[in-house]
Amino acid sequence: MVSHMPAIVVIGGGVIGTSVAHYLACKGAKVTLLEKGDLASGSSGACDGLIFIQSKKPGVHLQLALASLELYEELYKELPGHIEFKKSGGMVIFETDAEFEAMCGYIQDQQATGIDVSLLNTNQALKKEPYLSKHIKGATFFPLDAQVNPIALTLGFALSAKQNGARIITRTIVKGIKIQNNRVSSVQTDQGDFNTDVIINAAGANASEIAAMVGINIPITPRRGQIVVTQAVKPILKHCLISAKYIAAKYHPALAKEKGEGISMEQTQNGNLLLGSTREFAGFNKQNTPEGITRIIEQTTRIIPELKKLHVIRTFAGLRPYTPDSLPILGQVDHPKGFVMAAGHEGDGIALAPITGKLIAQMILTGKTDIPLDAFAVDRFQLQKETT
Amino acid sequence: MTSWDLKVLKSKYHIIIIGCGFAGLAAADILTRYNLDVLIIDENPHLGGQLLRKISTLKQTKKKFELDPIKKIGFELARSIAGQNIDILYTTQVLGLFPDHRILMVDHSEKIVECQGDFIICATGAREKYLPFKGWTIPGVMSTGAAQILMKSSGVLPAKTTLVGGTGPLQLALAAAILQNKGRVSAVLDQQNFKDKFGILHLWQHNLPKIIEGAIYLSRLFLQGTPIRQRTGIAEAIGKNQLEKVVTAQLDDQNGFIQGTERIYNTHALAVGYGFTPNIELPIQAGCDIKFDKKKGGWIVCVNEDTMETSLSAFFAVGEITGIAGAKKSYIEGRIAAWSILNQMELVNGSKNKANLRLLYYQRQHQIEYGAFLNAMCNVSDSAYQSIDDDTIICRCEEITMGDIRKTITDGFLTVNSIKKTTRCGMGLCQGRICGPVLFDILSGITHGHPGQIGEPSVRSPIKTVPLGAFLRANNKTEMK
Repeated sequence: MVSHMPAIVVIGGGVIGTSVAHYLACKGAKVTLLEKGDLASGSSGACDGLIFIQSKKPGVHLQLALASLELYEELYKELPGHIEFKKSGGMVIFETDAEFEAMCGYIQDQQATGIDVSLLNTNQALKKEPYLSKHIKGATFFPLDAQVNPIALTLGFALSAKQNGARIITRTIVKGIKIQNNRVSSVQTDQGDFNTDVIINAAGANASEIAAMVGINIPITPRRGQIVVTQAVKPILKHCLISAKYIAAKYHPALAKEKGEGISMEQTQNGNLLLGSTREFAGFNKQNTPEGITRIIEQTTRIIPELKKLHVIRTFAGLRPYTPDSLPILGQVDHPKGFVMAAGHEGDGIALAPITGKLIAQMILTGKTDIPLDAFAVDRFQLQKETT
Repeated sequence: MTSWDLKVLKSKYHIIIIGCGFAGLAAADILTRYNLDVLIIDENPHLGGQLLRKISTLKQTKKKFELDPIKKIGFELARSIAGQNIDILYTTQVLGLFPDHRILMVDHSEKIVECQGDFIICATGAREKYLPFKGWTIPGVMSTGAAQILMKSSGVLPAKTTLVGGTGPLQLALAAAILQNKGRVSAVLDQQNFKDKFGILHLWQHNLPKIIEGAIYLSRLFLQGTPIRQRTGIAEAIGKNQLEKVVTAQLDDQNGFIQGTERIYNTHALAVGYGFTPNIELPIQAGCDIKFDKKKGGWIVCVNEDTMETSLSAFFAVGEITGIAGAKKSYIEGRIAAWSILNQMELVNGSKNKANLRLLYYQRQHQIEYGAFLNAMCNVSDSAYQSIDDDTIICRCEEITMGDIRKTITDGFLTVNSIKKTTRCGMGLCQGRICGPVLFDILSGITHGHPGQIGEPSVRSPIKTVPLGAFLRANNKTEMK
């Protein structure tokens, strides 16, 4: 792309932006990260920490997730601070026969791509996770599913970037982007202008707003995920759990029409349980709703009845950057030159952050990537529009 | 009707009063005269808030002489309102306010209940502030308020001998009360200059009962020979499972401890107080605008001072949450809110209402002046926060120390929220109720940042913790499994 070391501005101090900054700075690039609030003050600070592999669609999506998991093994040792990465293994819980049937097909697809997902009956599932309710019909198990502390991860990426020479500037609002000769030339903010050769749009749910500044229309919209946090307690959960509805809601629209969007559960290293998550389109409204909280609690306590005794100490909601095909938008756009997308991961931001950062850094610094980014190009949506 | 039985709870009320201390009582007193559906929600098992904590036992004991007429008014109001035909939910905790004025709460049986109000009056009062010192988490170290509650509610002394410290005029009241209950006070320590307290003499016209009360307390201490040590702070509390001794020292101009001035008190109880912070969690969660005003006690709810309406329509804030100033201001603001609501409902004659309000505005001004004096008395200087020892625990729930916070500040995290995320300070079971304001003061003391930069407190529902099971016992659910 650019022969000398380009000046790079990353917009967004969430897990994606800081990951990109980390991988760029480690290669000696000149990086400035701009964040409108504090680091991890958006969706990355308001989500769970699941790195769920078995829930990814077989194909390039799964390939990304597996590559990301490999990077976690290194990051866990390299990043400053303790990111609380743990390969706990994950289970997908079925509550009905219909879910069981839907998941059998799903597992076959996963196994065909070499993902060693095993099917457990009720007793086997209860043996692995003793607090599960006896009414469940079974579960799938994948040993490589993992968890991490998303805030610690974001801060770890940012600190590492900083230690490698990146500038991390918070409380700075991007107001506009200047283009000269069909190339980005500077980012205008409320704290002054930043001249740059490359701009990386890692603004999460706000990515559409940033893209609009260079005249690009991208289909990223905020999707609200509410999460319930319990008090810290002794270990109750050994694994990360999601209900089959969670996958159904993503891939099997017929099952998703049933009540509830499917839930996820994990116990953090600190002992708190994170129970999530709703998937609602409510604009940029980050409020929790009594209905959303109640729905999460109804579903999670049904699967782990022991939870009823625990106290809710907090609820929060994050705006996941949703795209119509559930895949992120990654890579250079056609026009203007130097404008790079790294957003739209919806609920996969934590799982895919390391690989996203690595691939984007590779693309900018070498022009080549380990995994091709074609499937994630922004023009896939324009192409779809033209064909329909 | 006074009720513990939620079957009588209506789904909708004209007015819901949240918190029924002096401000809530004053509003209820007026509103109940107009044949409206009024609901009072209070987390205590009695009306009257902190000042009238003893009301339940008072019914049986003979009438006690109260020097300050405001207390007498309060007792009478609480009795009369508890006997009226309105709904009262005692021991009920509001969890949050949601769009359309829906209030979610958890009752005494840990069941979630919901109801709606056309108008809401939030009168949630204040709580004590803390200045952490080494050993402040040892059992036996308590707040001034906790010591008072022990004596008022349970008739128990904190210990045979109590050391009283902190800032503000309340230590005097506590020390005098301990002496009156035949306890002993080893000393009263004051971070500030004692003579500053005489500043209230300038406000004598409107605060005579308080001045007389202060004089009585002082004379009681004097008669017992209790020393009052000014410009003296607590260096360390020592003890394994129970407080054994307290090291104190005089403070220099920078609020550092002066070497060689240490004293050691052998005591099992240390009561400390550093003023108050408004309970603005519900207004913040609901989405009201807040602002920082040091003279008024820190972060407070923004209101239209003529009506007490907040930035949320038909949501009123009264009492300590609009500025710490004690019971009288609360009483006045409760009445202002009540008249404003009646005016909006077109139930009162406009000109008569204006006359009512004018008098109240006038009375309130004097109480705001008294509040400014009170808050200045309780003020802990920036340097006191700077000199907190690295080993001192700041967040009790998550055991985060001053050293952890200092390191994070050095790393460039300068806002309450970023430090919370980095260290977990304030993420524990108390939801940051104790350490939240402390962390703000530490940051403000160390960075001298603007309050808006350091960061507004952020609050999410549930405002207090509640078992998950409570959501399953909700009374308005039809499709429960």
